Amino acid sequence: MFDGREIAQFPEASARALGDENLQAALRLLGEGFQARRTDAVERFSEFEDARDAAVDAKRRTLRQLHHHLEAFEARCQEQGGVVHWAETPADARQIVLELLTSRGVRVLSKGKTMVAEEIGLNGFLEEHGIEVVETDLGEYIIQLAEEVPSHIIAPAIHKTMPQVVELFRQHHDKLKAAPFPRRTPADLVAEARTVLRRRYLEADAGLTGANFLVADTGSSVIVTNEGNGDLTQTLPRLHIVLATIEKVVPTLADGAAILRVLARSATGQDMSAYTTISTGPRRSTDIDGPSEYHVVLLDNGRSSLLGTPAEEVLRCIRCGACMNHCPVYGAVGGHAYGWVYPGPIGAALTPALLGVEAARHLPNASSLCGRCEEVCPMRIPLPKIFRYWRAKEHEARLNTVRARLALALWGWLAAHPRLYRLGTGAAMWILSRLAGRSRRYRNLILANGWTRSRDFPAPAGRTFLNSWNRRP
Amino acid sequence: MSAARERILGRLRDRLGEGSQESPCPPATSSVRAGDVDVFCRRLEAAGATVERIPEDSVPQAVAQYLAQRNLAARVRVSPALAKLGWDAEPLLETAFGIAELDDAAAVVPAVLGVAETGSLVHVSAGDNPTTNHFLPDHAIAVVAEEAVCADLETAFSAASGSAMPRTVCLITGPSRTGDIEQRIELGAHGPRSLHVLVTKK
Repeated sequence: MFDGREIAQFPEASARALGDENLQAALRLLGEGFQARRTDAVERFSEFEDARDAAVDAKRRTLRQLHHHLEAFEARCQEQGGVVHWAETPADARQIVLELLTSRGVRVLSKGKTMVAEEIGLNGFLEEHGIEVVETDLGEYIIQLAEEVPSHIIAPAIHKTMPQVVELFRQHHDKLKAAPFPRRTPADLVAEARTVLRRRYLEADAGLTGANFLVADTGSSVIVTNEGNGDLTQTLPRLHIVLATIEKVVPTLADGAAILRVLARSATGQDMSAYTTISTGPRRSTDIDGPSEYHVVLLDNGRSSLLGTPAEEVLRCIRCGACMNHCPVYGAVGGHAYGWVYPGPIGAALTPALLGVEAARHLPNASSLCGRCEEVCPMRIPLPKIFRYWRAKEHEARLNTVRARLALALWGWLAAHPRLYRLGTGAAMWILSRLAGRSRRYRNLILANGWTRSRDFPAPAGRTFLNSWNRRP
Repeated sequence: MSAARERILGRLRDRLGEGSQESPCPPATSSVRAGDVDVFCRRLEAAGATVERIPEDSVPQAVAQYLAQRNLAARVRVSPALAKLGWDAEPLLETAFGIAELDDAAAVVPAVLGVAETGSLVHVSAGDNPTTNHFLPDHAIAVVAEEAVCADLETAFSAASGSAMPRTVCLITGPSRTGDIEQRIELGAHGPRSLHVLVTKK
């Protein structure tokens, strides 16, 4: 479970991640996997930029009147026989879910993929209270066997290699324990998990899913999946619980359509995910399947306080994962190093808002501000701008190191004295250029050994930019 | 209602003010025209489904042939909504109506709409159209009428929601899949391993 304490270990955890061969092998697949597929999908769809604008507009309009849309959602949902629960904190949300389950004698809960359940630490809490939780998304199932947390918001087991999955199945599936596991292709592993999990759906007394969005106008929850596990989870058991945060609501299904046009393309590079399912209330009196109860738990957990701050734009996030798929830092260290539920750029922007700048101060610094995340974000969230906002907060609260504060103060003073600045930088460039020798690289550099520990520092050409600019013909 | 509800809505009201109530829907950004059945079929195939265009009275034959071609037993679960398609015409095909069960290998299911923009089938739950049948069996054979193919997501959503939302509206775009093992796409994660679509013509 995530408790937030791991974030403080980001520097050590990322250094360990760089040396983890299995992790590095798994992360190397990001380029030909997620990145290439997204690029193809965007190139196939000439209206992508317009679709992006429409999706951004839909969420902006929604967030400006979030309270109205939430009230409308609640009213429509209840009209259709659903029940809406409000939770301010993770503890409230856990308690609501637990009471729903225990009051109905639920022993086994099947679960579709939901990051909000990770955010509130639901699995561990329910297990402490004697409820068995069965993750049904293949990636979630793999990490549940491994007793780990997700390292990616849409591909939770992305850090695992195939041999590691083979080994996990061998340890946990009775029928494979005795015999050697002869099958080694991904297809065989998928088939193995399918066989084991299908029985579990039917054993579960309740199914819990997240929501990609909620629709105010119809009182519905919508999930987008590829495996079909979410649909079995919300169709077969007699109780369906939806766990969603308050910013997930959109006014109408048409607004949902605007989001759907960019979601799968940005996430997996599909034009549309295999299943987009709108659930509204429990089964109708004439239906012959579906749950007889439908409950939606609306969680705030700090989101309402973000509105009106420079970080409010993170509330547009549709959890596609494109920012982490394209982030050089995520690509190097993976998701676990970040130490909390949401890794990568969106995690670096969102976590300080949810857990506080002090607890999460490393994350907004885990970026070179290269801007790739903002470039691929379908919701045009200005992630680097938000990192800078949190960095400024960190500095104001004097949470950064003395060395960093001194360096910033020195640089700030120099920058405010242009003549000295030019003299100083000019001299430094001249000296560094002269001392570089024939290789034109430094293997070791005083005051920059953080850089030279892992790579060479290229020698400057000898002049500053300003110097060259002034001498231009 | 609950105190949590009042506090959450109170915080939002403090930050957002009362705000104006309504705002317009965004315009649809799809350029696909209504009834573009060719586009619909192409996009379904691109999503990993197989598509066959047949006369509306030959569904049982097409189902029997498909099962034979794939070396599957001549036995299907048929959603009750499709019970009247003349299954007697195929005496060697064993049919069972009602909700699908764990050992059903194949199911024939209706789609009330097709969406040309995305190549999606639209399932709408009803007394004679259980959702289970679309997800539990290994092989799904879906039946959709040519004239039910609409242009885009917005049209499909407004048609599917009608006067009241049903419990489940599902857009199905290809067979079940996963990329959870080393980012390689594999079909048949939990839902159907294959999706065969019969597009019927009057």
